[in-house]
Amino acid sequence: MKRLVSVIGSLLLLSHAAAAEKSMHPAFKLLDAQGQSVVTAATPVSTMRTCGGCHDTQYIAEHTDHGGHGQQPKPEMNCFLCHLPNPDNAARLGEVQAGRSQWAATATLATTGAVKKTAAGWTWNQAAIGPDGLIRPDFPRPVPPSSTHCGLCHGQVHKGSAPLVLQHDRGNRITDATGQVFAAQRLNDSGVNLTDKDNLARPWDVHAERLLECRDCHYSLNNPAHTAGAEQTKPAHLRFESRKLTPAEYLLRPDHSFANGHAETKRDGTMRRCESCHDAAVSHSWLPFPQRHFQAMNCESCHVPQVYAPARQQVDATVVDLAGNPLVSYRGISGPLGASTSLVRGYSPVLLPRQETDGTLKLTPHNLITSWYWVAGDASQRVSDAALKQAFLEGSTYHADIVAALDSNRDGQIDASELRLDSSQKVDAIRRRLEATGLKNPRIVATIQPQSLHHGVAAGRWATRQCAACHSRSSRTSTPMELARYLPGNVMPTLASNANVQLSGAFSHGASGELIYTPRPLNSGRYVIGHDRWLLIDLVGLLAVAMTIAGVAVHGGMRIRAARKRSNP
Amino acid sequence: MKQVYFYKLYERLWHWIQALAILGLLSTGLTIHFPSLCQLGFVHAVTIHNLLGFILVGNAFLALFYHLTTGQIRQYLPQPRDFTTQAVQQATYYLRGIFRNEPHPFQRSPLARLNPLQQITYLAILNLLLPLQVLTGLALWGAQRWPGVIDALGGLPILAALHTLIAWLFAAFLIGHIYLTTTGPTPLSNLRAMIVGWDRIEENHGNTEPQVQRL
Repeated sequence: MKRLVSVIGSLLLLSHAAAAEKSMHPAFKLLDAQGQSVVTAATPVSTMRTCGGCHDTQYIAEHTDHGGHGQQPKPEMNCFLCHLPNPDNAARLGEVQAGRSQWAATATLATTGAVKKTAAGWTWNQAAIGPDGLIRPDFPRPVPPSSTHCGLCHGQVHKGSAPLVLQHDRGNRITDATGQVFAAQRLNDSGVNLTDKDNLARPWDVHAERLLECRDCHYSLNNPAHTAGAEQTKPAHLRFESRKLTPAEYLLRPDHSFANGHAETKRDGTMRRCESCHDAAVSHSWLPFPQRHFQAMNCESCHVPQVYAPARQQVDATVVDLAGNPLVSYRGISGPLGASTSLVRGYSPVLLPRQETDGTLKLTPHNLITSWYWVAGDASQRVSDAALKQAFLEGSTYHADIVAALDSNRDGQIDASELRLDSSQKVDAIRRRLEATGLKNPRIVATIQPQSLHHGVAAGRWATRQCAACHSRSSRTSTPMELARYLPGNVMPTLASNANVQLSGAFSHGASGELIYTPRPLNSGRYVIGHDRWLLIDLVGLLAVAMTIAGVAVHGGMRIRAARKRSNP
Repeated sequence: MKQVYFYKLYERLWHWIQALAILGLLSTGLTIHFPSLCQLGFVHAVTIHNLLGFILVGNAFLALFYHLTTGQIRQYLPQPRDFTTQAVQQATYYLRGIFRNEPHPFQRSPLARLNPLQQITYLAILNLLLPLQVLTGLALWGAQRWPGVIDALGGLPILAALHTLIAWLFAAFLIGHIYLTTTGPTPLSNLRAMIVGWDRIEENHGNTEPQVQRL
């Protein structure tokens, strides 16, 4: 019966979601920056003008973190990118990268058939648009942004039944940095070559499976459908804040500053967190000392127990490859990134005390990315990619001085094992090359950038539920994480200055010289019963017990001896 | 030798409940502290430990009430007069006299069951160690209810350390306590007395009177 109700509920939700995709948006005119029809003027479309006919685009431009604050939106971003059902992001990026940002919004419409690229540039299709710029009835209408839209820039979002294949390109930077994927598909239905895949019947993210979209948590702050913002700012004596925007008012001026968790802005803490929707006390009645657990750790600590995609581990920007790129290595994968033969193992995130917006510290799963790079000058400014390429490369080959410095086996080539600064001579050689480009006092620095994990969430049955997972000697709270396979320039990394976590654990070196970080919860004032012990206390206690036993044994032995003597004088 | 009724039923019941609770607390505490030592499981060990802790506290309060209302509490209070001399006498007995089969310096009686060393030991345990152990245990148990209080007391790292140290000391005391029960007229006579209530004492003993008089 429960299953039947669940299926019916899911179908209702699906039908609701399908209905939500049908846009009620009226037809509109595609206008250029002067307010002229793009068809007659043959000019790039202006979203400020086109959308500004009904929406207060100036207000939106001034209230967005997806564009220039208080100015016109950044040319890279435009309304179509997030509000058309199927925007052409590749065409948009092509225009931006070609330096034709004014055509970026127009290129975004390429999939609509309203415009197409010709040798002469972008040409408007008069069959899709009226002479006055009014779109035809079959032109796709704007929709609320879905997770797919967010995924175009932020990380991998996958919908549909096609097997998911991991992508680590520029548009998937969150996935690249952390391995987080927002998809409803089950891991064992995906196209990823995962270890123990047959047994991984959980979805990539339970919230995606339950039909949530990014906007459900990262909502527009003045969206009347999301009352959390109003609830947070209402006077303390008010039980209900009725002064909310009407839908019409909201549609006129939708705030495009979206709720977030930790962006060091005024919107800190506005995002819907787990506890905003879930009453953990109800669903964790099985958990002993639930409040203590909730005080000590974020939900993700147990509900993101494992990441099933590779994630950045080490960035060595002290050298560049022949393409001029820094060397990037990933954790959680055996073999090259993107190769279908590579086995994806994923990784267990490291649990670090993270400062919450209320000032408390809670354990939160993280990936740690350690980067080595050159800085120069008194201000320790990072050496640009261009300067590094200039120092290393001469056309499509390495500069002769670089080859002389790094080519250990003298075969005239620099192979992968040679392309690393593992001696002071190599560091000095590169330093001299950088100085030759005009840089003053170039030196290597290394930072550890923690990336907290909040997606790729597992439902209860896939979450960490065994007490021994944390309350044991091999506790999750002190599971080590490899930071780097080698130390470029032998420089030890330090925690990035903008990090909101504590690294109170220990650094050590593995057998092959790899750098390992092991958290020590006790060092940050966390005592995990069953895992943490004070050695001194146990030594003193054991000594007390041992001395008592010894005393009893000696005294008892002497009594027995004395009694025997008495009985056998 | 004559048979004397030493321990009333409630006193024996209280003692054995406390003994079982302490033994259980020490063993489950050891399991919690070193989870790999026992297959009981962490969560079961914690649950039983908490339950036994409350049984111990409840039993201790009932015993306190009993000892206060019956006046038996005075048995645990060392008398300042000649205390040092008597303690030295008792220590000397344990260090020398016991091997020579000398008589106990103080004859036990239902009204004076404890020698001066026992009195001072119980005074420390009942007024210092037990309350501290109960308070730190309650703090660990209630950490989720009163996080502010717990932090003010030094947080779990300090409270757990103190709780563990006292547990070790209780373990050491327990070993000594059990051993000293064998120092009666026969090795098992004190244990037997705590089970059946009756014990045998010598009919004439020089040092009995002063303690009886003090009570």
